[in-house]
Amino acid sequence: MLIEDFWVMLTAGLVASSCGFIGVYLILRRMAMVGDAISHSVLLGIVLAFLATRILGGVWMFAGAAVAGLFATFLIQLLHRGGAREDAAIGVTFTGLFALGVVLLSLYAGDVHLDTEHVLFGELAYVPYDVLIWQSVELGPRAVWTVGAAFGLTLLVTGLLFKEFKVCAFDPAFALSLGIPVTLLHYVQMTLVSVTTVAAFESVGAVLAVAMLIVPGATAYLLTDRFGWMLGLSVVTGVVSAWTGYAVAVWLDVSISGAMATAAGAVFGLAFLFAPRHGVLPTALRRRRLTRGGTGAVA
Amino acid sequence: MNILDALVEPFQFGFMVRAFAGVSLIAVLSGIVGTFIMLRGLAFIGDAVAHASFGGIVLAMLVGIPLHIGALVFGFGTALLVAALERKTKLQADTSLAILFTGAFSIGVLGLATRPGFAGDLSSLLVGSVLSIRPADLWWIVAAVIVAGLVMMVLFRRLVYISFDASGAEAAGLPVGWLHTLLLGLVALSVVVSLQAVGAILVVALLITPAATASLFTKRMERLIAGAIGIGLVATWAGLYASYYLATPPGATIVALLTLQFGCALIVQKTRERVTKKGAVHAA
Repeated sequence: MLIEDFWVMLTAGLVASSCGFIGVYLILRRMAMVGDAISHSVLLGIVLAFLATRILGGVWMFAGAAVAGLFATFLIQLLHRGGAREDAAIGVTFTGLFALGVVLLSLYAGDVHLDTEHVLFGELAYVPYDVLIWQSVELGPRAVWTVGAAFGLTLLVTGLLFKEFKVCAFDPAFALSLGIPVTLLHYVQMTLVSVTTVAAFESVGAVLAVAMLIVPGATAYLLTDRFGWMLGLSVVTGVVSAWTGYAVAVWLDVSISGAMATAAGAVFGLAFLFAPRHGVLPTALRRRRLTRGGTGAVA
Repeated sequence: MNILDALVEPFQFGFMVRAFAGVSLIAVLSGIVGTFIMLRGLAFIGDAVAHASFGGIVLAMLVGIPLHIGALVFGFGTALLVAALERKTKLQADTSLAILFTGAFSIGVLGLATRPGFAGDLSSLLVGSVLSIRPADLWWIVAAVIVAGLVMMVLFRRLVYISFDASGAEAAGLPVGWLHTLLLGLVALSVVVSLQAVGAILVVALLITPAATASLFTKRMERLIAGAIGIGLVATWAGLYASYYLATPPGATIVALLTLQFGCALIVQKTRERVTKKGAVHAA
């Protein structure tokens, strides 16, 4: 295995783990489309950070993107509180922010090559060539450090607030009655989602970051009813999909992020059909056995 | 150059005439369908259909059939699958949506990789290219407006009934499942023809933002639809003029203006509410 393959697989694995981990909370809190909204809104942050600093990439752009993502969740909450339906609030917010980003980009940065295709699809294959150098020591690809740092932060914060996050995910009203600051925790968690998405989409792009956020978590949701298991399974299925996708992409010479998302979809399909308790086939089998076994009782 | 010249100038170009005609028809279509989308909480479905039809367009390109057909099949298929997945599993509707549309989208990304030359068309699919509307595309839009108009003429009251009170409609003996499927079909149709104007990412704004803006001021169905159409027409025309003179991408400009309208309407509405509340307190 070449060193480039190693770096790409490490990055893909880290992206899958961090997205899979935080995605579990998004699914339990019924906020799957919020991930979508955040991943689109960050474009505005990237453009604004670029217009302010005139530097492509780097810490400022990352911060701008993360803040824009957080701002999107704030706007959604505001509109929702103001009486808009949640789906309408999300739709209005992210399209508005994305459109503003595109317009600003064309007005003030027309000469800059800020590649929208790159933002939308990402490119994992280039990861090994963008190396982080500190005092003339090569520290490995920048993406590994960004995604690793985002994952580390998520693990740290979630570790400190594990019980609180869990209560908020399952029963926010109960959490509120316990005196837990639900709204504050909501924004803490949205910050984590935002940071994770921004770190991920540098490598896999905005649309497929949503796939990595939601699909492994949904797979795990079908496989287990226990929270701890769901977190673990989500990370594992994410990483398995990412690596399978990478192998397929190399084999067929297609887009890595596209293959990763397709693999994640395929794993979900398997769980949808065969998951022991919630899969379609086992459920149908159980039903048949029931009707056969106790004809009178069930009918 | 006086203001009238400035307003007329774009019309000397055939592509601008087609663009204005196209967005006007799309604004009418979105006003009608978008109101139902907003009332039924189908905004995510619109978004999902848009992303999924991207996959359909790429496959249609590869196979060599009309792109609209590929987009329609994928878009409508996704909308139907979402309903099925929601019934069959314990997953939330929006989770099923995210899974399906990212799946269909990634098929598009994969398909694209097999033909490197497509990358150029790709960005126009994602951000739209209303300036490159061909006469054939205009016919698709006209056909969609006619279909939506006919459906509304025949079934308007029933569709309104299921939108406000699905179980009541069921009890009254309406075929709620079929009407809902029909509505999903209309959503898919209007998303697919509007893709041309603003692209896959922003198309959902064209559908829901005007309706959401109108809903701040009225609760009556006919006024909602008329308001959404009017608001959409203003934003699309102003957006096309702005993009002509400022050299900005038309799709994004239109959506930015739609959002601006919504923001202003929201502020006006909230201020009015506050004033009436204060008035009520003083009166008491």
